[in-house]
Amino acid sequence: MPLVNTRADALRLEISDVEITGLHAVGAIPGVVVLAAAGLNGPGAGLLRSHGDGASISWRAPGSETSGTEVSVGTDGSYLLEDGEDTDKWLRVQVYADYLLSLPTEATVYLTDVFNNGVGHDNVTAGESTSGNVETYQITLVNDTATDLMNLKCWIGDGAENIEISMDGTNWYRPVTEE
Amino acid sequence: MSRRGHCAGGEDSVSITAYSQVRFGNITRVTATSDLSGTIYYHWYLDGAFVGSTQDTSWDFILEDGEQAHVEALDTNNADFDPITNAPDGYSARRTIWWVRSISTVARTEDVDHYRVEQQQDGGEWTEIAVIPRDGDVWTYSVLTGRLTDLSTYAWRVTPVGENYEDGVTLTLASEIVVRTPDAPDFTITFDPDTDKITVAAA
Repeated sequence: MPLVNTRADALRLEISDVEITGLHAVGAIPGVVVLAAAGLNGPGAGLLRSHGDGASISWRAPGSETSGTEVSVGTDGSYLLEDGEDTDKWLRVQVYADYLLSLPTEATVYLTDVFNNGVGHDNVTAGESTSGNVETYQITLVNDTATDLMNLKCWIGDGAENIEISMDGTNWYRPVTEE
Repeated sequence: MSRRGHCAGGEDSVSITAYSQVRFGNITRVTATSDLSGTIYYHWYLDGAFVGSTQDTSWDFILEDGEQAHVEALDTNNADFDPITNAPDGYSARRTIWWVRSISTVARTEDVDHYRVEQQQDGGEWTEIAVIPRDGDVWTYSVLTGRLTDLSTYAWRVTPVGENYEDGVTLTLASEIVVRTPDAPDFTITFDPDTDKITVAAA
């Protein structure tokens, strides 16, 4: 059973010690609170489901046809649920075991984009749009595991124009591939 | 207040062919007619925001006095149709405030009498927009806000209130600026018989 702060949930983005979330989650089964959803889930409707006596739950991401491995949640705590087709599409949930129903149940979880979440930074005014504007902001990549992170590589994905990266705030680069 | 909608893709989806509406006070019931046969799923949107799904052809919307709203429905035979991924383009004038029931020790679940939902606009005073009685069988609650002002910054908070009327722990949502589809322009048209001119002016 994957634990929180492991696998695809091991690295987090923060600004000023506040975790950045890219998706709002609306919907849950009794006893479960969605704390965070991986950005790779994308906007859409996923399925949160409990099984058997209600003490194990699973997650199916939007667009996926397969629920992930059932996770035993018989005691209070945080748990990581992964989709059955892509384990990088996870939900981090808080479980209150006393509130779980003792039977199989399910709920649609609606995931929608978060705006003004820090990555998107501030709003561009009409004047800034006309004259051009440079914004600089600092994002912290947090390694929440006990394993050291070595040879970190960072690059800019397709479709993200006019963005550069700096390690020191002085020299800016625009890597677009891993190499 | 409504317009023709369409289903966004999918081989088993076709257009909504007609809408009708009936108003009862501040409740407007919109009914959609579909070309599809068999089991039809309707997904409803108000001002671009997904509000729910039905197999019934109608949805009831609560609208404020004088309010303009934009309603769309998507129809499909696909039970797995994703109403969020396939949502029509839109800049919603509303937000859904959604929260999980209180389990705090300050306002224990069995002690909660109701939830107070408040809204703040542009850093001003907090205004109560809803009071939701506790339902012991409910795990989550939601409130759909009224129509919000374009280009204003809003924040919302929910406070559980105990049976002793003391406030529990308040949950405050991050503020956000609302960018929505502007209202239709309000204008007047006057005709001058002496000059045979029609004048269109902002009201």
